Amino acid sequence: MKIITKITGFFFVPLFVLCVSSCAPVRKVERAVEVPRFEIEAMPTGIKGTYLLKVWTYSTNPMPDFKQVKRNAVYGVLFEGFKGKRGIAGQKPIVPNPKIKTEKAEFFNAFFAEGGAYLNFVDLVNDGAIAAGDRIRMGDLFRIGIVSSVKAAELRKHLEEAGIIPRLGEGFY
Amino acid sequence: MKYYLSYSIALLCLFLTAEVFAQILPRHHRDIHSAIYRRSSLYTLMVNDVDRNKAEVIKRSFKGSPMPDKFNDHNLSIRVFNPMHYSASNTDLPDIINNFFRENRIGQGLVAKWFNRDGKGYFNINLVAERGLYNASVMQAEIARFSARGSSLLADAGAELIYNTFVVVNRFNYIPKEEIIDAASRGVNEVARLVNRVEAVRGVNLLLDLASDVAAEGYVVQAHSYLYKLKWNDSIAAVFYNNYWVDESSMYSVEEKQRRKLAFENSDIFQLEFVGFDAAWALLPATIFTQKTEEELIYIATVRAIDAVIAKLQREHDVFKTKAPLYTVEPLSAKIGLKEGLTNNCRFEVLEKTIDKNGRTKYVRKGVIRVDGQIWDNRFMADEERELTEGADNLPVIDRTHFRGRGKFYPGMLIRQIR
Repeated sequence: MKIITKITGFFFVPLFVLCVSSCAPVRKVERAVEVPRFEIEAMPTGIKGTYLLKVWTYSTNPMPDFKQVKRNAVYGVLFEGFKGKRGIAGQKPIVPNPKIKTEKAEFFNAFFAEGGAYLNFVDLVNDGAIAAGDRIRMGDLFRIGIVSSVKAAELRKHLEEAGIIPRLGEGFY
Repeated sequence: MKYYLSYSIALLCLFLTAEVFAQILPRHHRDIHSAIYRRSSLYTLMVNDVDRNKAEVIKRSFKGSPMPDKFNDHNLSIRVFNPMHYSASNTDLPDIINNFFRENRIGQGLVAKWFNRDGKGYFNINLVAERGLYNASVMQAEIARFSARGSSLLADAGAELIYNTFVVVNRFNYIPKEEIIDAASRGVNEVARLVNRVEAVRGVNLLLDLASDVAAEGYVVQAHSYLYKLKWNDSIAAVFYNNYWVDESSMYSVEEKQRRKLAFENSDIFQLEFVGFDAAWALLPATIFTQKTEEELIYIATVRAIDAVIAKLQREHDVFKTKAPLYTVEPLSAKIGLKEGLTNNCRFEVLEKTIDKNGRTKYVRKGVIRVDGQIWDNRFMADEERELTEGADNLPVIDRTHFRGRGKFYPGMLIRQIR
């Protein structure tokens, strides 16, 4: 009995201590660069007046926040635009001047607020279902792509009527 | 007391050590060539060994067997061939099959069928578009709905299905029970020789079961199957479209049209490549109480053997495995159904796509789920049939298939059929 206890103690306790001290935490990822909040990827050209795009969101939450996805989609179309790819044209931002975001902060804060007007200009395709391959785990982060349709023409008109951006062709006589 | 405490500590250390090792050892990674599932188009052929037992009955059974729902029917007019006509100096079946393909220009035939080639040599894309629309997943259909091109997007995607064109060449062997009993009496090795040592263990066990069942008459149909794939890539497609394509609206001269027609017929770029081989059994004990004729029993056994070998091909080749994203997790569901060949016995592994710190993409298994309850009928014209059914308004609308299983699952995880 004493011998068995001693053998067990000599082998397994140090082994356990060694393993615990040497193994790295499973899920920690060292990030050398800042992770973007979201990215926009071009999808096949949307029906007239709309942009069809895939919004890639980075989050530690495995379940997507659909309101945030919608907010990112509208924000991206307004201020960032997106690059095209083979056979699909990219789009410039509706608000190309970054100063307007600051100058009209009051308007945009209300526009993007909880339940704000931005919700009227975006739909999630297939009720926000995630396609195969569009949910990716990167260490402790989740990168999730959701296809959205942004009513770009209506969005531009809304900003023009609010005086945020000039009407197209304004200033030409 | 001291001993019990020591033992408890030792056991706890052992347990925790095992847990730690489980954490740091590589997890279950899966090879996935593509997360997107595309319907395969299948052409099935039979090697007609006219001297074999029940050859004529098996030939009729094979020609009458239905194409599984999971595949597009890509059968050409030739379904059966005699190997003696293609053996030349070689009796190896793969060489005989290659001779058959070459002499009958099967590669050309498969491409001609894709593009509905008529007597004048004109092509069209009607079948490509039709299969593209039918292949589309719910997600792809929804994206098309929001796009400017609409369903044309899906129709164009049909061209990608040409890459998944397969030929399965079957050779059947009918073994009556009397032969099995005779072989069994001479030993297990004789039974194994009877089955040509293909799938020897399971085959031998099945045959021994039949031999020992004194009440059964018994029919065993063994199917050996050779799988081939049509070689189709961007280069071949470019040659086809640029050099051989002609249709009713083409502005070519009569001479040019004739030249293109002949160029397609004489081209040697349409080839088939060998993918793999498999074998399967259908065991059909016929009791003394059966009302079925011998031909009916052999038909059933033949069809079962074909289904069994196709099921094995599905398990062993990734391109045939149904894949889809998890649609919901409470309850578990996916937008796949009878069109993808689902049955109540189907099992799927749930995979999470990961990118490691080196940028490598891997799929990690998170669990296994199985079909639970009613399967969505998403086959061609299923919606119209449902509407015409009496009392359809009172029937629940089924627009997805439910699964059961345990694990930490999230919408968007890939599910891949394993059985």
